[in-house]
Amino acid sequence: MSTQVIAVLGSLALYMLIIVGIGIYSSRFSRGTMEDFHMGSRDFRTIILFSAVFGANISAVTLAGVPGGAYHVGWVMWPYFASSWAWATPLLFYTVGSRSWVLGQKFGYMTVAEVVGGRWKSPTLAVVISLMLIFYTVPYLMTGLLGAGRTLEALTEGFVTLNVGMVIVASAVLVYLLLGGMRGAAWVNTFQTGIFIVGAVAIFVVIAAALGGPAEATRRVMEDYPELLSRSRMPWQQFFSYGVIVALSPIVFPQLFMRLLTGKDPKTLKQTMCIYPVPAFLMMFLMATVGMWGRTAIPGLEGAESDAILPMLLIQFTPIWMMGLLGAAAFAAMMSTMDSQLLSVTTMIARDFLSRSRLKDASDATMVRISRVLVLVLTLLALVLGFLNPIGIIKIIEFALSGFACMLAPVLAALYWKRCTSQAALWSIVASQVCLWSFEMGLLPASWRFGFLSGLPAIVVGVVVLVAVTYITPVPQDEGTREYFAIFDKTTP
Amino acid sequence: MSIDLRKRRNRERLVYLLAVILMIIRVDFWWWGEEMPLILFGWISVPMLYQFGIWVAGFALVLYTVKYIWVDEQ
Repeated sequence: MSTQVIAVLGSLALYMLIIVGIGIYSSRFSRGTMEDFHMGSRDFRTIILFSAVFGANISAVTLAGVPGGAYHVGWVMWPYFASSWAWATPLLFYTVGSRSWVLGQKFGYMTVAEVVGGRWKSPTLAVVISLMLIFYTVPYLMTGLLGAGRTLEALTEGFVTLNVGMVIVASAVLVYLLLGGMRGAAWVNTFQTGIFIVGAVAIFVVIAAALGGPAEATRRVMEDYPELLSRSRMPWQQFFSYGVIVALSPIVFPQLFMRLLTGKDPKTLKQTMCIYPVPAFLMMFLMATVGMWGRTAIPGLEGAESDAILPMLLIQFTPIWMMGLLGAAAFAAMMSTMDSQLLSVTTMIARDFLSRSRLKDASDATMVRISRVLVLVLTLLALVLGFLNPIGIIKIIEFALSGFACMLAPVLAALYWKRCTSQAALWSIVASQVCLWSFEMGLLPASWRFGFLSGLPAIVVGVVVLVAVTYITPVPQDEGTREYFAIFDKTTP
Repeated sequence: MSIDLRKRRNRERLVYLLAVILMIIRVDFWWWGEEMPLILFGWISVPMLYQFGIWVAGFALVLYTVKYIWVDEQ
C-alpha cells in the first residue's frame, strides 16, 4: 500500500469517525417518537436548518457531475445551475415553503403527498404523488453512492474498488442515520456543509496555483479547447430547459421539502433563504471552473470517466496530506444528500403508506423501529443499483430532476388555487409523466422537443392539463380546500 | 382585503414576473458559441460576467421577497 493510499484512508477514517461520533451524540437527544425521528421535533434553528437544506441539495452532482460535465462542455456548467437554481430555488422556499410550513405546524404534515393530498382529502392523489417521488428519489440516491465510490476508487488509485467504496460510504451514513434520525443527519450535515464549502474553496485555490494561476489555466483551455469557453458544446435550448427544470425541481425533492418543515419558526426559513444563494453560486462556480481546467491537465477522458476528474486532479496536484482532507469534502457533499434522501423515502413509506395500512394504530416506538428497518432496506437497494454502475451521474440527474419538476404544478395549485380540483392535479401528474417518459423512451419523436430537454415540454403539458381539467370539473367544495384557505388568508399574502 | 395585503400581493406578482424575465434572458443566445476575450483578470469573459449579473439580480429578488413580502404574522 502506497503512502498516498494510507494518507487518504487515514484522513477518511478520521472524517468517518467524526460523523459517526456526531450521530451517536445526537442519539442522546432522541425522544423516540416518529415526529422526532423523521422531523427532529421541528426545532431546528437557522444554521442547522440551512446546513440540512443546503446539504440535502448539494450532492454528487456538484462534486462529480459538475466538474465532470465542465470537462466536456466548459464553464457553461456553472451558470447551467447557478444563474437559475441558486436564486430561484430559495425563492420557492417562500412560495411553497412558507405555506407548507404553516400546514406542517397545523396538521403535523411531513411529506409533499400529505400537503397535496390533504388539500383535497384525496388518498389516491397522495399515494400517486408519493410513488412518483420515491421512484425519482431512488436513482438520485444511487448517484450519491456512485459518486462517492468513484471518488474513493480514484483517490486510492484503485486500492478501494468502486463497490467496496460504496459499501464503506453507505455503512457510515447508515450508522448516524439509524442512531440519530433527522436530528443526527442534520447535525452531521452542519459539519459536512462546513467541510465541503471550505474544501471546495481549498480545491480551487490549490489546483489554480498548481496550474499557474486562473489566468494561465484558462489561457491553456483557450489554446487547446476553445470550444469550452465559447459554449458551443452545449445548445442554448438545453441550457434554457435545464435552467427551468433545475430551478423548479428541488423544492419538490422530498428530502428538501421535509427539511424546510423542520424549521423552528418562519424567521429561520427566511434566514436560510437569504444565506442559500451565496454558497450555491460559489460551489458551482468553483467546481465547474476546476473541471474545465482539468481538461488540459488530464486530457482524454471519455464520457462518465470525467466524473472522477476532481480526485484525479487532487492526486496529481495536491500534497498527500491534503488529499484526504479534500477528498473528505467530496464525501461530505455526497453523504449529506444520501442521508436526507434515505430518510425522506423512509418517511414517505411510513407516512403515506404504512400509516394508512393496518399499522395505522401502531405505537410510535414500533413505527420508529420499522423506519429504521426501512432505512436499511433502502440502502441495500441503492447499493444494488449502484453495483450495476450505469451511465454518468449528470444524465441520471437530468432525468430525475425532470420528473420532480413535473410535480411542482399540482403542488402550487394545492397551495394557491382555490378553483383547482383533485382530478386536475391527478391528471396533470399523469399527463406530464407520460409525456416525459414518451420522449425518453423514443415513443415521441425528438424533433417535437425543438432541441429542449424532455422535461420542459412535459412541464408545459402538465400545466395545460391542470388548467383544462380544473375548468371542466366542478368547483371544489371539500373541507380541505376550506381549511387550507382559511389558514392562508390569515397568515400569508 | 387590506391595503397592506394588496400591496404585498402586487409586490409578489412583480417578483414572479421579474423571475420569469430573468429565466428567459439568462439565455444570452446573441453570444452563444462565440469566442469572447477574457477581459477581467485574464480569465473572466463578458458572458461570464453577464451570467454573474443574472445571479446577482436573482439574489436581489430573494432578499426583496424576504424583506418586503414574507411578513411573519404569527
